[in-house]
Amino acid sequence: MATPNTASTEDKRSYYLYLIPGVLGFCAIVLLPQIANLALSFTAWKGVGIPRFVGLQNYERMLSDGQFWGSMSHTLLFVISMTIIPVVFGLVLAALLFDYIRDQFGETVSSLFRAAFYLPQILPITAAGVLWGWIFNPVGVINIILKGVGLGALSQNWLGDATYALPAVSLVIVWIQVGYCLVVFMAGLSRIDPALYEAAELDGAGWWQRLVTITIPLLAPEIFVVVLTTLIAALKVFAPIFVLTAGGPDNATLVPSYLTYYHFFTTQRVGYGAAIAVVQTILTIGLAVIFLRFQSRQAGRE
Amino acid sequence: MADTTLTSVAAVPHAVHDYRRHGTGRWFVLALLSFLLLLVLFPFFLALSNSVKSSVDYAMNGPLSLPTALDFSALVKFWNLADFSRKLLNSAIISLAVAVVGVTISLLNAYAIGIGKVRGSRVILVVLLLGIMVPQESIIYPLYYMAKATGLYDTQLAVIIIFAVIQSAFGTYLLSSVLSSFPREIIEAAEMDGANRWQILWQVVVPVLRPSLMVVGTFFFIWTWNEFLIPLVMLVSNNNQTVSVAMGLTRGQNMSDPTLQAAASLLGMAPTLIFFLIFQRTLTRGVVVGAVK
Amino acid sequence: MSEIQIELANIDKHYGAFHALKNVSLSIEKGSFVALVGPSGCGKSTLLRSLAGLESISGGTIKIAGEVINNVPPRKRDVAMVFQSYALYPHMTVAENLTYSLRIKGIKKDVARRSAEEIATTTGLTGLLDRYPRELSGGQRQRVAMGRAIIRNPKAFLFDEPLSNLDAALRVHMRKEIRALHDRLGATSVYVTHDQIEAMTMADHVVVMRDGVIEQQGSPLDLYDRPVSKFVAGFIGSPAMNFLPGTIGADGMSVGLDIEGAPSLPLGRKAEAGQKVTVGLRPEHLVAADPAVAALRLPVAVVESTGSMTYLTTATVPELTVVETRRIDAKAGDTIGVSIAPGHVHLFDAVSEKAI
Ligand SMILES: Nc1ncnc2c1ncn2[C@@H]1O[C@H](COP(=O)(O)OP(=O)(O)OP(=O)(O)O)[C@@H](O)[C@H]1O
Ligand SMILES: [Mg+2]
Repeated sequence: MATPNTASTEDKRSYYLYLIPGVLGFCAIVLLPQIANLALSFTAWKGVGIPRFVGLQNYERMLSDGQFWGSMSHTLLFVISMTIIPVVFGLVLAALLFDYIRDQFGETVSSLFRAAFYLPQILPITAAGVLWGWIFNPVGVINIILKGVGLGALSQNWLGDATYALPAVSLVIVWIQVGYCLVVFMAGLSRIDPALYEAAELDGAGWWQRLVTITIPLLAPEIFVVVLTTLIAALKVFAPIFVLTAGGPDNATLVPSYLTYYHFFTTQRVGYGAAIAVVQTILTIGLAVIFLRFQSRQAGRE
Repeated sequence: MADTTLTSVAAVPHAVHDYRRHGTGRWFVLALLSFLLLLVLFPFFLALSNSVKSSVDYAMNGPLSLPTALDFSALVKFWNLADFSRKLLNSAIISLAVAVVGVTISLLNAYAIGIGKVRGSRVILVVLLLGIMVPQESIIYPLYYMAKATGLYDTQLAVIIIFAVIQSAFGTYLLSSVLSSFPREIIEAAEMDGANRWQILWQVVVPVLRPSLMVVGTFFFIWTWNEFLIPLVMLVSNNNQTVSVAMGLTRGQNMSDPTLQAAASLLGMAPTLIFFLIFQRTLTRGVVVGAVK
Repeated sequence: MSEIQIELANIDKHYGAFHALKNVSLSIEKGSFVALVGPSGCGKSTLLRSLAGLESISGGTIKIAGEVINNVPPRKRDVAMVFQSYALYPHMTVAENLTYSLRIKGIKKDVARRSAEEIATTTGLTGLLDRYPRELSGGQRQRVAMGRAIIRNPKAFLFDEPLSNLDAALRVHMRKEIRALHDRLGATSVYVTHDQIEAMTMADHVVVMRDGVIEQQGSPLDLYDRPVSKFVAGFIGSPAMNFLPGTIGADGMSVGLDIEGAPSLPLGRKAEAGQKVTVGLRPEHLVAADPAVAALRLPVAVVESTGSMTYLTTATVPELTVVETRRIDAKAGDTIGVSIAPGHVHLFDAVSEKAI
């Protein structure tokens, strides 16, 4: 008797057709390789012939591999240049530009500053790397300046000396990252009600007090996003190392991504490289899950 | 009369307040920021001024002085040495193709998720996002192997396919949220007007969504342009390489000539700089949504 | 009796656990103008959208022009809809908006353009054909939405609160225009509104809905004169009907009002003696009269005059509204006499709220 109307439900199913190209592509390009990589991490393989199953041997080896632990500790150090310094700089700059420069000198000046600080972020890292490689050259700009101001004794082979290579690379990374934090924070500030600032000003709060009592607490979601995304990025640093130091000198700037690349394509220890990549992936997914949890909680609140 | 008195009275406390707060301090802050800005931009200045210097000029006056005369020989030399026009063309083809294909895939996915509200869309989005957040090292070797097996190794097609898929995972996420707030009644009106799914997508959704599609496409373009690892692994022959890869490999080459190195970095950055100047607004505003990348 | 154009039989609609339409049956004659009214959330839009095919139904049958269309997608049902938000395509000009359905059918551009020009004449859009929706006023957008429906010459027009985004004056004007258009086209229209005046003035047949069921349907005056329940009585008519608690007298021929100083009112018919009832009195059926001869003497709380009308609100519990077309010389605090036009006393069971 009752014939339920199935027209719309039938149509609903046809929406799935639109997912086919994307999902197939994703499976072939991302999911399948990811699984293959995981499988490879339990094998010994030179890239030709049949991989030999070795169980957890690659992971056991990692535990006692000085290069691996060195690369991990450098990643931790990169947290300073990828996350901590850019976030602090970004916050202060954003607050200055948004709450002071914009008031005093207008929107144009503040967006000009923003665009300029953001510029390094948008460049191909390799091109920036060529530039910095030249600046850090033993006969490059930095040493020439030092000599010029009478501090010639301080000049170094910045990228070629194990003591200075890591700080030098970090400086480049800070140069790249500040703009990203700045732009996200400024966007966050624009959603804060200006009345809050006016109220705080009338209450006698100075610029610094406003930064600490209003800007930072209200920017908490953006700070969280930036911290997590830059942490994830810190785990993946590759191009600057490849271009500036190739992991050297003496492994002083080795990072997991570079180590993986090195084992894949130089030593041909594919299984071992895959195992390092798996560790990186697990760490990234851990951070990413926190990030997504947070995002959906934010979305739920809106 | 009464009016003017009123306004001037009202203005006084504000003026006093302004004076106290701003005074000379504002110039100090501006000077400080400008100094920082110069520091950030200084490398660009160096690249520019030294790449239009002759080697002799550099040897005599060092990197900090302005060129005594414009000399493009370093630029020309690097251009020819690196076969730069070829690299530019390669980058442009790959980035453009990725932008177009990537946006199309994103659009199709987002149509099903944002408008079709298909079941399981949350799971799909999370998997897509996780997929692009993990380091590319963890898929590069299998991709390399697959490319070799299928004969796509060292072809631009391989890089285009890979990036179109990877970028579209991100584009799906962005466009789905845009589309989920697409006015439902407009879709329904088109349904009532007799349009089918496919027609609604291309005749109603796409034209309305065009600005967002352009933003996403711009991002895909520039991200792909800047990508390094995958093109590095996939494109070995000189003729297929992108600007980014060519830059990454200059270090290994003999680049003792400082003006040549400056010229290389300038040329490497120039296309992106130009692009940045054109799309500055889109790009700086879009980073916020791009935070997941 | 003319032929049935739309027939809904035993329609059920569930949203998960929520039962939005409960066994709704409705027949709509060809050429008639049917209004669906009811309070917000009663299921009017759901019913209309089920008819359009935009919403799937959980049970029942929908027939249009004799054909069961349960499984037919909206684009093949040959009905047109005018949305509350108008839902114009923002990237198309007025002409393109109007002719989109024709273009989909494959009709040539110049032929479509000519139809658009014709429609523009009937809907008063001449000269606006090349504008974009954002360049139109609210009323003009409304006309485009109408024109877009008309151009297809569909089997039925569906309207979902099409006038609610317009200002009051324009709404009154468009009411007449839509009805005139309907008559001219000989169309069949289903019109959803929560405004009972719109429903009363425009429709041949009014359907009052409540919580997913049809409470009553009939001609506008039928609903006004013979509401089947307190709900319909209160919903139809403006200002709303006064309700007072009362008890049927011992003789069964009169009702005593539970209000201070009120005598019993003659009923002119028989009711069950001693029954607790709710008495419904329309404000326009209460007549201000000389306190000496009037049935009720009531203290006045508020007097509002619009010039043509005088609205009196009494200081009783519950308060009563009286509408007079004459000017009344009363002010707050006065006592006025109110007599009740005979034959206009509505009775509802105090518990079931059904009309007696
Ligand atoms: N997609 C949905 N999911 C769940 N419940 C829904 C959905 N759509 C409508 N409802 C519910 O169904 C009921 C009827 O909704 P409907 O839109 O038909 O009301 P309406 O009579 O048109 O009201 P209004 O005058 O406010 O437009 C409401 O209680 C509503 O909350
Ligand atoms: Mg409704």
